[in-house]
Amino acid sequence: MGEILINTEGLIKTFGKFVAIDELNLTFESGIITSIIGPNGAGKTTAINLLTGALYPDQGKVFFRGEDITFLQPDQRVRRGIARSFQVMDIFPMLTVLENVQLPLLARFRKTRKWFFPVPYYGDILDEAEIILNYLGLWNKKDVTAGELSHGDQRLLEMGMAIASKPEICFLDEPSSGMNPLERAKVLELIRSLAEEGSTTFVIVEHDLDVIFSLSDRIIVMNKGSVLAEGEPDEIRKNKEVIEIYLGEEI
Amino acid sequence: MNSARNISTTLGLGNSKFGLICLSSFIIFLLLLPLFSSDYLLYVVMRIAILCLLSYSLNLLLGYTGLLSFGQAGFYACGAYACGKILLGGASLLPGIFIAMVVGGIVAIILGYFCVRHTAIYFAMLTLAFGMMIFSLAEKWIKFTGGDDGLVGIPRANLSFFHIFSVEMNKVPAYYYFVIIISLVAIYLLYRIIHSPLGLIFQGIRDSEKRIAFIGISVKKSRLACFTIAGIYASLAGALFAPLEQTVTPTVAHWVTSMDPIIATLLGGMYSFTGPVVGSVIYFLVKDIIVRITMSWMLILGIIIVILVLAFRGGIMGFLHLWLFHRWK
Repeated sequence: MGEILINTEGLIKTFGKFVAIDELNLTFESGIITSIIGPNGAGKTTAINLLTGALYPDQGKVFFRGEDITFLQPDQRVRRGIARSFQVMDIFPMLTVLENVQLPLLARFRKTRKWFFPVPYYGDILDEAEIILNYLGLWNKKDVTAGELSHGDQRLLEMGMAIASKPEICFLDEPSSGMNPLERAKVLELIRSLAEEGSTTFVIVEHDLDVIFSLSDRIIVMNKGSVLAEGEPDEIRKNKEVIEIYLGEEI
Repeated sequence: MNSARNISTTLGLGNSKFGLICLSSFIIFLLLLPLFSSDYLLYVVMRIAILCLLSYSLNLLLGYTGLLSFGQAGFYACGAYACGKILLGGASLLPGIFIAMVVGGIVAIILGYFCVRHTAIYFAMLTLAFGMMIFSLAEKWIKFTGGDDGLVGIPRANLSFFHIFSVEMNKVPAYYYFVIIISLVAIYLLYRIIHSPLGLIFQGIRDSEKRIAFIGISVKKSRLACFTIAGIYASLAGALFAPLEQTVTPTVAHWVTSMDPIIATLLGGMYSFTGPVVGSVIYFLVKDIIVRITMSWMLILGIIIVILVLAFRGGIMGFLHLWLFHRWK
C-alpha cells in the first residue's frame, strides 16, 4: 500500500552516558502492521516515546507525512493523527468508562472549549462512544468507574481511548501484557479487525512472539538502540543474527 | 418523559428528584430568611456565601483539576481592592463587581502563565509566592491601597443600571439578596462548567495529565483556563466582600486567608459538588461559635479538623455519599 506515514533520520537519545537510541532510522508505511521486538533495554519504548512526543531526541529528525514533527508537543501530534497506548497503563481511574472514551472524542470533534452544555448534550460524541465501547465489549460497563475494571478491561479501555482519536498511526506498547490468554486473544482479534478496516495503521511493541508472528506484516528487530534487522516475519525467523541475540534456538 | 429528560439534560440538573427537592427548598429558605431573621444572621450567611465562592474557586483547582493553590487569597484581594477602589470612586455596584472580576481574571492569566507549567508542590509553592507578593503589594503600595489601614469607608453603592432602575443597598436585607442571588448564579454556572466538556477535561487532568496530552488536548492551555476561572471566582468573592465589610485591609491577601477555603473544602469533601457549601457552613459556624466560648479556639478547631479528616475521608459529603450508597444498595 505503501504511503510513508512516519520516518526518522538518525535519531540519537542518551540518558546520561547510556545511549538509548543510536542513529535510528525507521520508516512506517500505511496499512502495514509493524511489530518492534528486541531484548530488554533495546530502546523499543524510547523509540516510541521519541515518535509520539513523550521524549525529544538529542539529534536527528522525525517526519510525519514529510512534515518535521521532531519537537511538536504530544497533543499536536495526536491532532495530526498519531496516537499511542502506554506500557504502564494510563487511564482516568476516577472517571467512568464512558467518560474515558468521551475525552479523546472531545479532542477529535473539537469540543474541548465548550463550557456550558453538559457532555451528554453532544449527541455525536455519545454515539461514537457507544460504537467504540460496543466494539470493545465494554458498553454494558459504561457507568463503572474505570479504576474498578479488571486489568484486562482497563487495557482494552486504554486501547479504545487510543483508537477513539481515529489516528492514522497508532503505537501500542505491549498491549497484551498482564492479560490472560482469553483476553490476549480478544486484543489480537481487535487489532486485526481494526487494521482490516484500514483507517488506522498499527505499530506494536510486544514480547509475546506468538502474537507478533501471527499479527505482523513486518517486523523490526532492535538491539542496543538501533535496527538489527527488519523484514517480513518469515525472513526474521530465519535471520541468524536475530536468532542469536533475541529469538534463541527453539524457533 | 423523554422531552422532560432532555430539558433536564440541557439544564444540566441531573435526574435525582431528591436532589432537586433539597436544592429548591434550600433556595427558598435562603430567599425567605430576611423575613424572620436579624441583620447579624444575614451578615453571617453573606460571609458564608462569600467563603463558599472562594471555596468553589479553590476546589475547581484542587478537587477537579488536582492542583492545590495556596494563593487564592491573592485573587480574593485583587477583587476586594479593585471593587473597593471603584466604589470609592463613586461607581455603582454592578460595574464595581464586574471590573473586579475582570481584574482578577487578568491577574490570573498572567500569574497562571507561570504557575500552570508546574504541578504538585511546585505549583503550590508558586501560588503561595505570588499570593504573598500580592499581599506585600497591598501592604506597601500605600498610595493606592492605603497600606496597613487599607481602604476605608467603601460605600455600599446603589445597584443601578444606567437610569433605568436603582436599588438602595445600604439596608442589610437588600445587599443580602444581591449577594445570595449572585452567589447562586455563580455556583450554577460553575456546576455547568464542571459537567461540560471543559470540566471533563479538568477531571481528566486530575487523573492523568499525561493521558490528556496523548489524546490530543493541551494540558497547559486547559490548566490555564481552569486557573483563570478559579481566579475570576475568587475575585468575585472579594468583590462581594468589600462592600459588605466596607473596609479592605491587607489581611485579605495573606496566605492565612487562603487556608480558609482549603479547610472548608476538605471538611465538606473535595470530590463532591456540594462539598464546598457544606464545608463553608460548618467551618464558619464552628469557628464563630468556638471563638465565643474559648480563647484557644484554634486548638479546638484543630482537633475537630483532625477528627473529620481521619474519620470522614472524602469529607462530610463524600462520607454521606458512601453511606447512602451502601444503605440503598
